[in-house]
Amino acid sequence: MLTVAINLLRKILGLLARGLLYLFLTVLILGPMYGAYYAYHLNDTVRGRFEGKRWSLPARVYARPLELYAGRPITPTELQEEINRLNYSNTKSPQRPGSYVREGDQFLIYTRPFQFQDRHETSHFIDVRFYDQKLTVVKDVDTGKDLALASLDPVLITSIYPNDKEDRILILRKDLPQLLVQTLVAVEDRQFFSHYGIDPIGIVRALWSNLSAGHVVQGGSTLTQQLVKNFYLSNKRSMTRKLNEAIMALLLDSRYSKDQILETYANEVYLGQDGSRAIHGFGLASHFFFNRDLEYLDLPRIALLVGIIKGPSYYDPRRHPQRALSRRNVVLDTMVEQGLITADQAIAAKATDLGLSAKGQRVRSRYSAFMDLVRIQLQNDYRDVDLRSEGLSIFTTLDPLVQTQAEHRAEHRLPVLERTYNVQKLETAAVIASVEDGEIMALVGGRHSVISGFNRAINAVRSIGSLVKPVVYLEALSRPEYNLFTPIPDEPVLIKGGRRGRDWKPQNYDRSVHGMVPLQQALVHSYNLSTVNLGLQLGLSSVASRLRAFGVKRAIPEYNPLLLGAISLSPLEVTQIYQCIASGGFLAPLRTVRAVLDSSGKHLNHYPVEVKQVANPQAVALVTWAMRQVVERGTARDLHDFLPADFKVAGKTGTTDDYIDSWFAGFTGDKVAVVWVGRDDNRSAGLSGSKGALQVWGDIIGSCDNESLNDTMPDGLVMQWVNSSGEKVSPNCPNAYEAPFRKENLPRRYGSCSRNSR
Amino acid sequence: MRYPNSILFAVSAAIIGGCSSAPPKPPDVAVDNRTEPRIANPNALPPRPSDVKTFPYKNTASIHPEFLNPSNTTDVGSEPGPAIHDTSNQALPSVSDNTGNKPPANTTTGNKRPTANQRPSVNLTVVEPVPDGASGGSGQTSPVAGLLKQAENRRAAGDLDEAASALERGLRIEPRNPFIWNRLARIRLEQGSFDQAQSMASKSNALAGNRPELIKANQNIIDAANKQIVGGAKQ
Repeated sequence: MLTVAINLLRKILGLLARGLLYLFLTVLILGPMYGAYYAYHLNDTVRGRFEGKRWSLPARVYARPLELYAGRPITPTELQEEINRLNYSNTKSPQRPGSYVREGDQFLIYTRPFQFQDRHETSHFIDVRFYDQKLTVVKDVDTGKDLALASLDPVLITSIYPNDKEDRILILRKDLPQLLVQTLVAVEDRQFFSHYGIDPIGIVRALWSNLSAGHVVQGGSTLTQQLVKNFYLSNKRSMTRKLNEAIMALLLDSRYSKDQILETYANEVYLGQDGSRAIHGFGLASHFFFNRDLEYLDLPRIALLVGIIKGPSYYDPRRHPQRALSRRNVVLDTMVEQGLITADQAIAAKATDLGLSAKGQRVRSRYSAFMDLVRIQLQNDYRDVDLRSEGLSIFTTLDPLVQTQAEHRAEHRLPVLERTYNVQKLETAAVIASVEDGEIMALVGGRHSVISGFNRAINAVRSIGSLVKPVVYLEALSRPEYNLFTPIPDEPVLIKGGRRGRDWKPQNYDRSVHGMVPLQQALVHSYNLSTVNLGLQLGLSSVASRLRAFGVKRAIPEYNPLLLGAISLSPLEVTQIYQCIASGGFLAPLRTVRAVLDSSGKHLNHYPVEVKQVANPQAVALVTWAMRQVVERGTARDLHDFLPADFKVAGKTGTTDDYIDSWFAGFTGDKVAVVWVGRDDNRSAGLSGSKGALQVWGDIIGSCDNESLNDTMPDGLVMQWVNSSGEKVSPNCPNAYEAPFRKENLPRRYGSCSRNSR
Repeated sequence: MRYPNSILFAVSAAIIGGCSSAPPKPPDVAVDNRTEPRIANPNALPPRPSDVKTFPYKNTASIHPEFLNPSNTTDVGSEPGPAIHDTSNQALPSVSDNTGNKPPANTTTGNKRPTANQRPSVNLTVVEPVPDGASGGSGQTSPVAGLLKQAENRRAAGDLDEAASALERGLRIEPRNPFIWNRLARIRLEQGSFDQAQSMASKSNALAGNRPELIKANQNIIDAANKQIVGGAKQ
């Protein structure tokens, strides 16, 4: 019995020992296999995460290319600005694409080749000359022949993820300032360019200096490890996690180049918090802290930015300026130590303050207001799946010259208005588009274009006031029974039981009554009573359907106050209405995108020029003539202060009740523009259309190259010298003017020469 | 070039197993650098000798009347271009139906969108623009003339999209040029965009001024488009 038990025990022990041996062997064999499997799994994770960050190539967004041809309205300064935006290098003898030399009014430009949406533009060496601020010569340097047309490559505005609402500022490796890279490496990871993703020597050195200092002065993580850390959402610290990170760093380093890792790091690194928004990447951080592009950071700012990485919340320069300052100075010392800068440079840099921009500003990339509309139009017109594809090229209509002027002028005009009229908190919005093909050249979303927030050009939906009047008059002039001198009663109107049961009793701006007035005069001086009387003759629904034809998609409230502009629209929508008038009655849908190409150069889609006739050209010419008189002698006379004396422009002022909104809409021969000035809180801005929006409009348009309005009248209209009542007079009469009439209702009667005019 | 993954896994496994020696550095992976701007072949042109280019470069040659369009790389052959170089303000060249030097619309080949039976069967005259003094400046070659010619070439080659692109480019330079709108209307007609063909022909008419031939050509387009629209509605 005992022996049986002993045998059994021995058997069990034997089995156990053999099991242990097997287990040992299994571990010996499977351990590395498991390790390999684990590494494979991590490898996948790394690749997925990293490429998720890096290989979702953003879409590149381009401005319109600048076309050069003799006779083009452009100044040498403007060409220089465009060249600067394109980063052409200024060299004594241009030998490569992307370089130029300027001597006074002559430029020699070696253009870059470029693949446009519709053609490949080869590189040219061109000679561009100005005379008297006008482009007079464009010729090929090699052949000496005149070039009818040459175009520069378009300015890259920004890179975006079209489906991403976030406003990230992506920086490519080549656009990272060299000093920033050097400082980053000096401070965070000195062996970056030579290690394999982890840096054992660095760890030892960090350990040593931490021990000798008695506290943590150096971290041992490489840039690669820091980047890997970002792949995880949580901030848990554990040995396994550390080990995983180390392996992933090794994997990452073996798979991708240092430059690729550096670029991803530069766009991923966490640098601060703006409310609920995390600030990732140097590009955005540069705007967030300093309100400028990364490329324009000076030495102390670069040092601060790199210093923050160690603890974005602890060294938050806005909340803890002292800590940030000393951290920055430590970085400057390191830079001297590493030979990046001289001791003198460091001393000078230390003497500066942190150089932060004003607090609480949410900053955005350049051209962000315009980009808002680009995103909207892309999302409306393209399939999501197309927009998600990588590396799109988006060709837009943005004119950087006009955009820059518009932003600049708006920002500088508003403080002047505030001082002059003792008003506060003014905001503004502006849209500038080309007349005939509806391309948006510039869009201003607010007073400070670099601060994000409400895009008023698209989203500020405001009562349009008198801006509706040209549409009412156009509706009248489309009918044979009306001409510019048809008498309209400017007399009190009382409409009982209007909206909400209240009586409606509109009044003129100055509360006067003018009796019977010629139609054009009522528009020129923006009389409310005559407009209401005219509108009632025409019928509300005809005015409403005219507005719909002019592109208004919102529900139009068909109540009597509509005749005085009781309809709320955005500046963008108003621009579409005025585009219809400016172009002689042909609606061209306002657009910001010309074409989108995928990464292989194939057309995703194309926004062709589209037009639709929405009004009779004669009627439009008549109302345009009256709108020119608005500027000549009516409510927009002040515009003359901004434009050359002989410059012809048409426009209309708009002011809403209690001076809440100040509007001006108008057009030159080639541009249609709408400006709104008011307050975000809907309180009185205290400005009429001519005191507010007109000034901004004049500033912007006055700063651009414009074509004067064309004088030629469409077929069927004849010019005739008349007095203010529309009776034939001699051109020599005082106050006589030449006005257009339809051939069939030319005035026959001769009138009094001395008749006064308004 | 891909490095052998197995080496890496073995190395990683070794690390897991406690070995801390660094793995051998594999060569950088050759990934196409898609972050570069979309410039096709930036080094296509060899560096130029500096002696010729040293500033100030003065070329006193008088303006060459020959049109040279930098983007037009196709050989324009013997096809006569628009009579834009003629600087005298003479009357419009007389246009006779279907005897112009351009191929009539209904013979165009390679038309992409409309099928052959959809294509309007109307002879569309090509009206040649004349300089009107307002554009291009005196004695200068007009950029628009070149683009019109280029568009006509593309159209003759059957690429209506590219032809339209050239015309749109022209419109950005001279947005009120009725000849460009006329040509674009014709392209839209041939592409089967009958609404746009009509609208653009009307637009051309509104800008045409005193050019009866152009107005007549536009009317032909409007009528042809109308026929198609009515025909389409019947079907």
